[in-house]
Amino acid sequence: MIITNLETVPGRTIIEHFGLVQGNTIRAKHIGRDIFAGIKNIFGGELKGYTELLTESREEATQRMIQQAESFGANAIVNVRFSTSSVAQGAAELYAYGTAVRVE
Amino acid sequence: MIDFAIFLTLLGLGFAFGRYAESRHFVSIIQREKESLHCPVVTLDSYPDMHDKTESTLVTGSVVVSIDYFKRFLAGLRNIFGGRMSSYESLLDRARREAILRMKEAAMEKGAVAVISTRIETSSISKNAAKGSVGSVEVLAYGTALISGGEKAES
Amino acid sequence: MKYTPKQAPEGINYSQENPLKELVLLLSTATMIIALVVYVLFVSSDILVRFIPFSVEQQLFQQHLVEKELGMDATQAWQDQEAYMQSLVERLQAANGDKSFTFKVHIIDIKTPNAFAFPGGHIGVTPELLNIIESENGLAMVLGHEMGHHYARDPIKGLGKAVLLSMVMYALTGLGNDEFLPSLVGQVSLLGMSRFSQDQERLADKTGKDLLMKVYGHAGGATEFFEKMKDLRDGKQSELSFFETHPPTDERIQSLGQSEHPALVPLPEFVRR
Repeated sequence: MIITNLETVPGRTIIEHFGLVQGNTIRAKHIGRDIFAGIKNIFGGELKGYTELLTESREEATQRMIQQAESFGANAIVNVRFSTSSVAQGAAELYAYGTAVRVE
Repeated sequence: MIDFAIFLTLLGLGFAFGRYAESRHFVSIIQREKESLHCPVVTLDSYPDMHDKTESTLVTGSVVVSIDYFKRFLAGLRNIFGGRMSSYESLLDRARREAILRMKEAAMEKGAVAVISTRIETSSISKNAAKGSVGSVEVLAYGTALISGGEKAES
Repeated sequence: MKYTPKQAPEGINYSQENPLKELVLLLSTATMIIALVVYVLFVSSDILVRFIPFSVEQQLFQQHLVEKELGMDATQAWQDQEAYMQSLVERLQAANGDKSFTFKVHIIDIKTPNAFAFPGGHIGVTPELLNIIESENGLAMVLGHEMGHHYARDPIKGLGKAVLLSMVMYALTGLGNDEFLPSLVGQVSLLGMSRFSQDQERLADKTGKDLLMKVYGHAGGATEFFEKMKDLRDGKQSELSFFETHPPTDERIQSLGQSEHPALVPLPEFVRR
């Protein structure tokens, strides 16, 4: 499955499209990471635990989007956008959406 | 003791009514999605024959969905242990599909052929988990509806 | 490009499983962890509390505060009985060779025969108990039993557990968080603290019997109170509260052994009203 945030896939032509596909995940951090982040709050710097958590979540959201596209019979998703928002206390929502197409 | 009884009642109410509302909403969403399949929604910024269309306009669809007590409690528990919050996932999926449907419906009312350059924004209204406050999520979907001059939807 | 309308399958972006399953799983995990933590805290509190010296315990539970709590500060009604029991306790203490504890006996006007041990070295006895006991030995056994609780630091252990439990409940639920301190004090009401475990009760029985031996040279009268209580129960009154917090009476009589001994000292007349 080709994923791109361009309009088209370079070097290929889009012959068919299936409309919007989307994938989302909501992940909560757990108490351990919370405590560690609290400590890091004093010293500053990258919160590796959270970065890791959000990266995994983004992976999963993308995976779900791909699942939807595959069920349509698409082989590429173009014009992909990501969005992160916080919808619940202590949880981040990762959302990925794009257009499922078939390229040649 | 009375606090605990109130808590259990709220939990039960949240669970019962939440499940009911959710399943009804999903049924309605799936139905309307089927009916509006002929009008595609894409995130592409360009579309075949788009410059032939004489009319195009911005269309939006938005919805605010609120959390129920049961989901909030479950999310709170999840917060301690970490992992996927399945209680919120269905809420957000509903909200998003509803917003996209509303945008489509606004577009189809204008006689659009397709909605292109779609963007979706999600934000939370008062996600504060303090006792008694409302937790809700707002989803906004907007895009450009391509309306053929005078013609209805072509496949 | 052509457009092929497709409907996405359900269940990708959300789980179609019943949320109750998740609730049960999470709740049971949380409960197990909490139970484990509380258990560890209880065990460590029993160990740590022994480091609180008796003098501190006494300071916290001063006599006038205890009497105020028991509503006994104004009455002069039972002074004779209290003085008699106080001297009995001091005899037991002297025979035991113990100098580190200070005991104070109070009459508690409740309508059931019972005796209590409160933090700070306080011992409470009800008038009903004085009525049903006939010998000084029997009374000495009861007092010695309560002293045994104090020697084992049972009151302050119970106090520590109650404080811990309140703190855990407060941290978990925020229930009663506006009135935490007053409710804590209320909960730790002295009468409530007389609930000791059965093991603690058995040990206190043993201590009471030892003290009897040291003062009188024999353990006669040790089972008098229990036998009288049994008679009462087989009779009309049901002293449920007594039987609930203590090991089965027959068992206690058995482990204390025979109490048929000639030289039992009768109680002075003024004691029973």
